[in-house]
Amino acid sequence: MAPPVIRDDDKVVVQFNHTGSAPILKQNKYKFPASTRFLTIASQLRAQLGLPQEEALFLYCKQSFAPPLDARLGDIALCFHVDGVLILNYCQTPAWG
Amino acid sequence: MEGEEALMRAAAADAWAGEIPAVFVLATNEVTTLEPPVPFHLCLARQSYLPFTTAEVVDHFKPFAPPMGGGEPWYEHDGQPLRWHVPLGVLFDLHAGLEAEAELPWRLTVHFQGFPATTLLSTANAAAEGWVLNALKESCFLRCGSALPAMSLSIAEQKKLTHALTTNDFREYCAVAERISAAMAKSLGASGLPHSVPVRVFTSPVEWRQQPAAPRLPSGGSTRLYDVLVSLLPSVFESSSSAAPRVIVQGVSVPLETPLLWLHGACSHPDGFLYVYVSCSPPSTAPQIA
Repeated sequence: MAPPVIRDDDKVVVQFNHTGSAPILKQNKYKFPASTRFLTIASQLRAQLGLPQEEALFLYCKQSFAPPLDARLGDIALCFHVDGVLILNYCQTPAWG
Repeated sequence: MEGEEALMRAAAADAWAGEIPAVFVLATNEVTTLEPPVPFHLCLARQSYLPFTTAEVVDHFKPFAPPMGGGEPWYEHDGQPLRWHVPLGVLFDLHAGLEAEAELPWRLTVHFQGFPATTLLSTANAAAEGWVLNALKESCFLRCGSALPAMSLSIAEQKKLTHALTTNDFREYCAVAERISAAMAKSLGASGLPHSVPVRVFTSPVEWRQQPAAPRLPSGGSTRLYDVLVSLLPSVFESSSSAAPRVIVQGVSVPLETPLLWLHGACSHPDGFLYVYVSCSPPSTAPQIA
């Protein structure tokens, strides 16, 4: 009856889609523990892209809003996943303001 | 049903009328004058956010702070930096907690230096406006499966929303909120029932959870606050051994049987989320900062 809760050690599949002029990832699907905060997701993506700290990076969900950086990945995935995959768009300029 | 609707509107107006008397002082290590500035008293609107309501506080203390500091102002209560992106009423409930009455006026310390960039987001005013709109888009998506009702607000309407938050103007807020609900009603069709009710549940000033919560149970009955909490925090709400947690919405202890959709209509914040604080520890054992 109640929606399933994703436990802390469950893995969540995240698919990163590039938007605008942002660099393209070779591999765009990653698994993270459900308890990961968005801040960590953003910094890991930054590392994958080789993007220095001073360059802006924006992460969007559903091509419309940016999840709070202190949000728990499992919660956002439960709310907004499509067939078990959370699709996030990343870009270097605000895309959906 | 009609009576309930009227009650919900009255509760929403009451929630907007809610204010927290606060007194601000400048951090002692940032006072650069012989005489420290006098404290600044202000009533903070529960529905607003720190950056929208504290322009006067900043003006009051700025002349006393280090001239080269020039950093973004930030606020602290009892040694803990206040996260401005949480609505003020929720912040107060989280920090002053169960002893809220004894805490008044709420004592806050103003800082202009040493912005804790790792715990707080940057507070430039545009960021605060953007933050509220962003959260509004998220809550719209949860309710009707699209962020369009919030995304299609005109610049003038966005300004209206900011102004309503700055001046705590419920009527001005309602004008914008009605625009959003009208757009949402179109995509929801005849039943008007949202896909899910946007709820964020805090268990401490930095720990929070959210999950999609359908307004109706599969059995057809209304989802109660209890149903959401038990699925998010089973260890707290299923065990009988631990002390009964206190559940606080808009500063008020709320019965767990309250229908979720009604509670959202009455007590949600301007970003479209209903904020619930679940306090698991009784007041006597609450952690104290020495």
